Amino acid sequence: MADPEPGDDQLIAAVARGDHQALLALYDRHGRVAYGLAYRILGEAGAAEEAVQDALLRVWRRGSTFDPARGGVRSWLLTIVHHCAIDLHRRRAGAPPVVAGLDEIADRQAVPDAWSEISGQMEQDRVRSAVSTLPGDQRRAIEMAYFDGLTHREIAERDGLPLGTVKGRLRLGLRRLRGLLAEPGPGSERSVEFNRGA
Amino acid sequence: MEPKLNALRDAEMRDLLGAYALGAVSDEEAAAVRAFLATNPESRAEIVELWAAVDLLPALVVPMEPPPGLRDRIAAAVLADAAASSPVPTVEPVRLPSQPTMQVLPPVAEPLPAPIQRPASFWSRATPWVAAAAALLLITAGLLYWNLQLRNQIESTPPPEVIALAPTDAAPGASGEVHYSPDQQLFLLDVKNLPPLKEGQVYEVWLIKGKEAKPAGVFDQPTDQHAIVADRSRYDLLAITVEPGPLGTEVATGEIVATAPL
Repeated sequence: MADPEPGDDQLIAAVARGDHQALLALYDRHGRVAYGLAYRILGEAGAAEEAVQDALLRVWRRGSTFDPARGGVRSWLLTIVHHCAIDLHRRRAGAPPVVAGLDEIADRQAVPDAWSEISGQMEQDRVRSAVSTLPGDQRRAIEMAYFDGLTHREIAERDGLPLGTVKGRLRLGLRRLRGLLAEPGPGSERSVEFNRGA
Repeated sequence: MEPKLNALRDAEMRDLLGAYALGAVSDEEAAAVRAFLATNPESRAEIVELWAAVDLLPALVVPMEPPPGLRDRIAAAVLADAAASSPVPTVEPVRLPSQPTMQVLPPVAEPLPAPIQRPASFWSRATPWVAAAAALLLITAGLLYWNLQLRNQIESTPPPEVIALAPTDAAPGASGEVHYSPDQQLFLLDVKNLPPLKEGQVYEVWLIKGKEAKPAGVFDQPTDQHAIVADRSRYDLLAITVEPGPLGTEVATGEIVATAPL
């Protein structure tokens, strides 16, 4: 009987020990989403490639700081990919770098692994469906912040809105999205416990 | 009066939580929110919820097959990083007093130094066995270099020599180092912040002796690692130029962006 494939937690532990094959195994497993995310932000293959390579190098260097008891590898890895892609996007646009540094990303590890919780019951369709139910102005504000790397002030300037309106849309949109995804999905046998371990 | 001010301040901080969760705040705002969260457990619980929502946003993107060469480049970068981060003695960086002028020369007859890393466009054009062989060579070179570092520590062999890359006026922000391992006759370039390339261009490395310049491989990222097998004693200078891609040229035509004396 073949050995079961190592889990992400085992792979990141091996990365922390200096096993570069484990890093490549993580890339094999999550590279398509990582590259798709970087491409969505940067809109160009070469830049997306650069961002993903930079992110994987950071995962390699910081693998020992990952605490599997606090969160999921996939979310952590994609957060780093997002950070690298937005950072590159803003540098190319001549804008100041993104605020969240890697230390802050480590802090975000306090978040439970939402990806593992939705696996097998919601996946992408449910997330997309939930986002599509958000009021259009909230969805637009969230997408401008997340995919375009704009600050709330930049969004306000671009759309000619008061700062308070943009801040409200971002916060309310995320809270609403969170609430929608915390509800049991069609056919699911259990509710999603996002607060696990928090 | 002070409690009212504090309440106003707290309300402002709570309003910012969504933007903060998305990283859509300034440095000052982020610092203020962090300080606020440190003393407000309720808002700390809210930010965890908001972060959980943000973590699901990658589900909105369509997964895409990465370029075939990316995996190999990640492997090479990781191996080079492992080698470079090994504790080795450093030597005083050497800087050129002035930048030399690259002369356009015919290609030399002797065998070229082995280029280890190629840009993506090369991989996409190469036949599968060539790509596989080159990938193997690339990874092997990284392993050899890493192995060399470990041997240096264990057997007290001479450590790699480190030479600073000097930027030229064409690339004032460029920096980096050249690590040379005499035992393996292996150069490892670690370049940073080269000027952006235009479409179809690549960075090309040259090893120069007198008036002769030999191409020593190409790469296409402004911050990158690049390995070259060559004997340092046979050259005076290493230079990087910008050339037409994907394979570079046999004769230098572009501006020099960085140099290192050998």
